[in-house]
Amino acid sequence: MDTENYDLTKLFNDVSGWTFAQVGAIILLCLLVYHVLRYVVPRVAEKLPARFRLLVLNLIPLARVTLFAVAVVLIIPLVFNVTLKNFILVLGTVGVALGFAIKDWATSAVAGIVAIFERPYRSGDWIRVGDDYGEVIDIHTRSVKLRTADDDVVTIPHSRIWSENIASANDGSKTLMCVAEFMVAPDRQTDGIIDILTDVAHTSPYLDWARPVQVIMKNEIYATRVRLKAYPFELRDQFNFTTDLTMRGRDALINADIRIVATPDFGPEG
Amino acid sequence: MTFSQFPTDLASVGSYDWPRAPATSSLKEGYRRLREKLRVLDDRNADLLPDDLERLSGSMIPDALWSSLRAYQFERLDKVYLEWARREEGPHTVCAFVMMPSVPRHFLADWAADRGLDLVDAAAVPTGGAALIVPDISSLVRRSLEGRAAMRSYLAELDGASRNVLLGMSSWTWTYLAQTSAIETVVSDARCFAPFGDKALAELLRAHIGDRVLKSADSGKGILAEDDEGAPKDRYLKTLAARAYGCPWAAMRLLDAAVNQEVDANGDATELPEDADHDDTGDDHEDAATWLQDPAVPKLPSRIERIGRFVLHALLIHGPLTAKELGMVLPMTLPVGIGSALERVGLIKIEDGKILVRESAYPHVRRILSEAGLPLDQI
Repeated sequence: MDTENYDLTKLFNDVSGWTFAQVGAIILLCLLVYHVLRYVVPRVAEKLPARFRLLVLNLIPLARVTLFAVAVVLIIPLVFNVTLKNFILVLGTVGVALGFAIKDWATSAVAGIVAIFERPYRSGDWIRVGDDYGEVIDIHTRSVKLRTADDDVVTIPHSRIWSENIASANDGSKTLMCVAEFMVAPDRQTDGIIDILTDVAHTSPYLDWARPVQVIMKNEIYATRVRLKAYPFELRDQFNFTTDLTMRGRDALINADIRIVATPDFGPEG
Repeated sequence: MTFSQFPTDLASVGSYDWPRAPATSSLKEGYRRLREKLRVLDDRNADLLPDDLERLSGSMIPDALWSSLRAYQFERLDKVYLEWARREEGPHTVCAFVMMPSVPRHFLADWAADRGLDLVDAAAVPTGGAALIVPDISSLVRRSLEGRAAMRSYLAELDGASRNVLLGMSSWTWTYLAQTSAIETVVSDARCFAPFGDKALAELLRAHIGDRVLKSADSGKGILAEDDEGAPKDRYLKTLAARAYGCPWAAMRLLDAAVNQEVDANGDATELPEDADHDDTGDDHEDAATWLQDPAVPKLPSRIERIGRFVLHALLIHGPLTAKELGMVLPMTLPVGIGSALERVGLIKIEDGKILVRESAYPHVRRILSEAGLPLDQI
């Protein structure tokens, strides 16, 4: 019994009010630095040349992990008597706590750390998780925040990377493929469709010239599905670009006497 | 006048050696611009500058410099194209001469007229013997479905031409056409002026304004002083060459805009005495130096920043456009007064109802578009 009391006493250092003050100061300082970074970095990134924006935005999650590690390294010796025996004891206790009490949070937090290094998504990326598609605007310890095209902010726990596919439209690059779809009558010649739609893409001011423009056709039951694929030079212009391609593409096809099929509803794309 | 440091040949498009600024200059400039954008840098005065300075209202660059540069570049064109242009027998080829928008307007037309060559502005190839010079096809390029159809017809006509044809165009028009049309299969050879580096710029300045002591406000040193290998000791000219993208006209205009002249008690700019004895070290005539401090670079007003970039981009590809033509090559509605707003910033000018990018503002325009990630000219 005495031995047990002795070990427990030795697990902790002598914790005084000053120790609590130090721990509090470290936590506050790390939080302050983190929040300052979260405020400053996106604003600076907006002012930088476009090619550096995504790179700089990704400093935030890295900074969070680094600050967390720094805080842990500074706090543990203040509170705990760090020996191998104590370390194993604390690890076991923390393991039990994580296993039962905050399992879900811990799973997401670990997935968040994995996400920082494996990078299925990065700040500024456009990703799809389940039905949600949007720009990654913030990566927290437990979750990632997306801003959708409708300006909704969706919070998704990192733990979904264990069980779901994450589709990244740009994967860290500064552009992504946009697709404009047209359904044309299947009983007409398709001559000229490719040239017309390629010209439509080549005359868009949003186009990234260096990337290829493609027109893909596929027969559906009631129509021929025509997909015009091209890349804008700026990620954020993707909806303007798709709109421009769709509007002018449709008008150009109609002007060329190519009939756009309006009904019936063809269902999801194949 | 002979220039040993000037580029002797035209450069082939695709192998243009873009001058690079020293890494420290680039970093320093990037940091300074970031501070400007974040509005934490208000005072641009360097500590090294004397107090009694004023920016010159006129130009420091003498007409003789422009004339000499023009004559030198005319000779480069002669060397490559003149004999070919006067040849009537086949085989007939189509060549392209690509110029940065900072090259003086009508430069190729002036050269062709001076050499008595056939000029045409329209998208047609009239029959004739010697070469046909099309000084600027930018005006024939339209980013519209009709414009692309017309360009395809024109390229087909060029492909079957029975005489040599030299197409002049801006580097932006060339890049757009090269990426989105068959121009590279029709054109057998595309060239541009070779870049002027720091040594060439130093030689040009020494020949025409060597009587002035030009000092960099950044380093406090004379910019024309040479090291043992004949290269300028100070990094100002190397940085200038990079900022001007190797175009000597752009470099001279940037330098001219950076001039601060010391003033005497009467408010007049201090002149060097006629018999002033000086060397290139820039260490003498401490009181009569001309200081070079780059003025604040123009910025697009935030309200029209995005649309303004599209307008500038379109103007570089298509050349001068009326407001109506501009509306036809951009799918968005242009705000009323955008032309005037861009003119006030100093990036464009309006001549005869047409909007065009100022030659002197081209380096700033290219930087603005580059930072925004728009597709750039590639030569």
